[in-house]
Amino acid sequence: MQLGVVENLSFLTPEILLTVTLGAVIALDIGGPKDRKGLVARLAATGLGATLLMVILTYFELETKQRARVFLFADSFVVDPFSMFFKLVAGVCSFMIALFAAKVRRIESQGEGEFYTLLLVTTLGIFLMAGVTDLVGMVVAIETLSIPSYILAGFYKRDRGSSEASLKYVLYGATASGSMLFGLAFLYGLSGTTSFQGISAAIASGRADVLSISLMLGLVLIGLGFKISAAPFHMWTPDVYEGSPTAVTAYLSTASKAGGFAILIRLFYSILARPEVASRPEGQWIPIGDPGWTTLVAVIAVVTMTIGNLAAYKQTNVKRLLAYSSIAHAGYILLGFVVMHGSGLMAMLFYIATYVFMNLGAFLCVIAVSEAGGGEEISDFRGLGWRAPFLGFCMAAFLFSLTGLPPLAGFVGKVYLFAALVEHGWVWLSVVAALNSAVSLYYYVRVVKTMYLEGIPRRAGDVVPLRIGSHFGIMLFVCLVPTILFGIYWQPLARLATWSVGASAPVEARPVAAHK
Amino acid sequence: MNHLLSLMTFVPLLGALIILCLPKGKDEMVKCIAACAAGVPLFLGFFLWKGFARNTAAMQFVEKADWIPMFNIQYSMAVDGISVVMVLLTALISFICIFASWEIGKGVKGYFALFLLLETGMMGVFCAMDFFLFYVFWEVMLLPMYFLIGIWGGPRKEYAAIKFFMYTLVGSVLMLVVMLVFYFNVTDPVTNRHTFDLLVLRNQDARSGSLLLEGVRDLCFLALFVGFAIKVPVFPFHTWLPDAHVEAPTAISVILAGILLKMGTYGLFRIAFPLLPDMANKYATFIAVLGVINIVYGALCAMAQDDLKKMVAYSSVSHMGYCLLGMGAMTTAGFNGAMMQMFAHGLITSMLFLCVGVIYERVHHRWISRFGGLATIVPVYSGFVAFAFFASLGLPGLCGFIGEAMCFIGAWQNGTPSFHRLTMFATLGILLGAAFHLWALQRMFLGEKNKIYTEQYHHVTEINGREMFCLIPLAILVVLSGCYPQPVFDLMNKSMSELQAFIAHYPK
Repeated sequence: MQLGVVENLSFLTPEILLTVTLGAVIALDIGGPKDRKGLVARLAATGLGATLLMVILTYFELETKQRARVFLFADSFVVDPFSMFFKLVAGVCSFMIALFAAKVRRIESQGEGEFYTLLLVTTLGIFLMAGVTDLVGMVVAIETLSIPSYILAGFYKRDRGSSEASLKYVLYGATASGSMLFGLAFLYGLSGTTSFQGISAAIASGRADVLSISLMLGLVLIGLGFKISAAPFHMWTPDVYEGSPTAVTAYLSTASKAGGFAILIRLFYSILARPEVASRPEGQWIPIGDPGWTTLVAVIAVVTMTIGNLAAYKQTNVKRLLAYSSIAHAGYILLGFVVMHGSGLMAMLFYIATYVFMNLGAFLCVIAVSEAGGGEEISDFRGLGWRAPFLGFCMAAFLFSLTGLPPLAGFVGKVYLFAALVEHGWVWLSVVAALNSAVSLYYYVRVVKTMYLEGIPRRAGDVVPLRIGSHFGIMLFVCLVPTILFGIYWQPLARLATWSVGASAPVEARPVAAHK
Repeated sequence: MNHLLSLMTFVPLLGALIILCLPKGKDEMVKCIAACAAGVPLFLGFFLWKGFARNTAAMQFVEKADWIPMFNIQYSMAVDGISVVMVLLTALISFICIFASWEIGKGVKGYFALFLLLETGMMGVFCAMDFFLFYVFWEVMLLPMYFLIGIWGGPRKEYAAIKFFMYTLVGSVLMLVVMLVFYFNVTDPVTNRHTFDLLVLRNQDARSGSLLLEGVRDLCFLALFVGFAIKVPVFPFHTWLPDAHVEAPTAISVILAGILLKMGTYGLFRIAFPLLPDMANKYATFIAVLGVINIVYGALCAMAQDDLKKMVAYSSVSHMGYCLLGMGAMTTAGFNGAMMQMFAHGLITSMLFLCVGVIYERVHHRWISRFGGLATIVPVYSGFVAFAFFASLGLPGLCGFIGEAMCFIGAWQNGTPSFHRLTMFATLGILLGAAFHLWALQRMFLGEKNKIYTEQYHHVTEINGREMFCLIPLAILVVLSGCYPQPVFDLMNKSMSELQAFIAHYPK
């Protein structure tokens, strides 16, 4: 669909707004008044809020105008419901993180200007990742996310853990990016084009060998597997998650991961698969050439969730425990990837949306506790359910939701994933995943146990209350509502996810001129 | 009374929410609200009892509404003869347990809120006629149970609570997968959509795909069976039960033994048998054999216990074995017997656990060998215990006898030589049951006072009014349904014979 420049740009309002905010934050940080405590945070949060609003408006515009997708910049960027869904998720995460971080004293003292600048850049990176349909654009988008993330991980400058996290993240990240670039270079060499559609067309027309393309995509998978922390590229996760400032950890485990999934789906489903009926991406997908990559991803998913769940057992640090839990969840989400059907993609989107709230919530609890004078070890959570009843309740709800118990959102997400698997003959995989989620109860409940079953006050007067403040209280509530609501009535979210998949067809076998 | 079942299910939840909103320190008010919230289902249960049509096997008090239309999940509540007994039992025992928990010391607000949430979960399980809804209620129950055991339990409460939780969850995730297999392979002939409706799922003609393969059906049945067997608990999945029962506070032990265990057998009746009737026939003997193992092994274990509560817990294992024997028989009498045994055991074991709680509250231990000659000190209490013990060992005239006898009759009616042998072997359970009950009775209440532990007798006071208030209604029902069980059979008979006929229609 060819549009004029202005009309084109109107679909980019969220990105433009984000960039403007970014500029304003930098300007305020450099030239603003000296005594501007919290002003930068407020500006960034407002900008992100406005961006979020624009994302929603654009979403509606796509729906009302019945526009499946709008290609921009010589077909290298697409605005479609699929990308809007991920922009929405990432926008919500960034917005929440910006609000969390506003009350974290240490971030304030280390220079909030830098923090929010970097946060906004990473958000922009994810927005781009959601929409790119071109290898070069993909690299740019991923690096726009990665490089600020490395800095954010090491944001506590004099903190050894934080510095170690940053260094590890950079080293692993550079290696992963390197192999991905290597693969991308070969992809271009083999197909003669950088566009996803072009590569797909090249395979379809027999110009490129599907096996070599798949091998190169395997290299790309290293880079993306690193982003979503899938095994065996998950090694960095526990160390980085533990060392980074908790707000950053929360961000890495939600928004950054969502971005990784967005591009993973787009890349593989554009190049190696096509919808059975071109206009119905919500239906069955046919692998092109089928070199068995679905089986490969199934194995990765199983290994990822099992490693995550088993390694989480012995952890004594809540952040580290949640890091392993987020590895396990990457494994669950990947399940939707293997079924080659719109229902699997829909389950992934649904799961990501619910996962974001419960995981953010869990990390927010950790932030709230450490800001109120507690620590990040599980033992620091002793008796918390009695000392801070609301926080304890929220944390328990988030953890049980992560386990996948009804009536919480995490349960519904798992049901959709398992349902997609069962529907398309992957019953063994759903059994493995179901047992995995049962096993995961053990370590989640360990935190709950420490909060409620230990340090029980003997008399009502014995309780030493832990006050978390109204700011964190409200934020917790904001995470709690969707976690419970989507566990009881999730039809709207399911509809949104389905619709986002339905119109996401990245490939419309239209001829694309090779760039040779 | 169109929304009778919904009210019975969700009024306790409402009570829980109200309790959570109360300010701190209003313990008396919390208890009163809890009693009211648990009293409403009991009160409504009276209308259920009155209004329930005895002459049909059809679903009654049906409520249906779309919940998640995209996935065709329905909010579908109803009762038939299989569930109505359990619903009434749940309402009664939950109400009694509120009073049994009256003296709970710490965290009163949390305790009663969780208790009421638990009641909602239990009611929901028995009323849900949509597999998905059933599953949600089934799981919802686990959370309050975990906290109730874990916070208010005995010395090893943490271990017991997590063991219970893990066991049940592993069983139920398998059930989840089976549920999805059914969903995708059954098409409602009326709406032409996949469905979770249990009544449609049992329609064998609506099936397609992998459910037509016998191997798949085998696996499905076994997965369902394991899920429910853990709850019953069937040997060898019973090891969570002694721990959970012993560590749980009195009222929660009562709920566990009185209602939660029945969910396992109810699940077999409601889901495993009707959905896979041919497999039910195929594995009938297997189920009966496990039942007999339960009966004998449970009784032997009970005899070996010195902890009174553990003895009662193992006696539950033994008594649930009778249900399995009756179910495995696949005869109407067997089904009726199993259901009757579920009802009887619900009443009797509740009495037993309440009695254990009474003595534990006074002397803070439960070692049988440390008691002796209690009957001279607390005659009324001893009378209650003796009554409960006799009911439990199956004395004619009390309802335990009816259940056990019907199970045996049903199993014998099956007619095959293997069932004759099983039945004969199972009667050993009656003997062993009498033995451990009477032996415990003798050691605790009769004979000389235990010389070594005489100082403990100073604390023993007679059973008080509140405790008697809990026990007397149960005792009356035990006698009534023992002497004249017909009203209870009337409730279930139609549904049971319909189910039996349905299963018999699909030979292995």
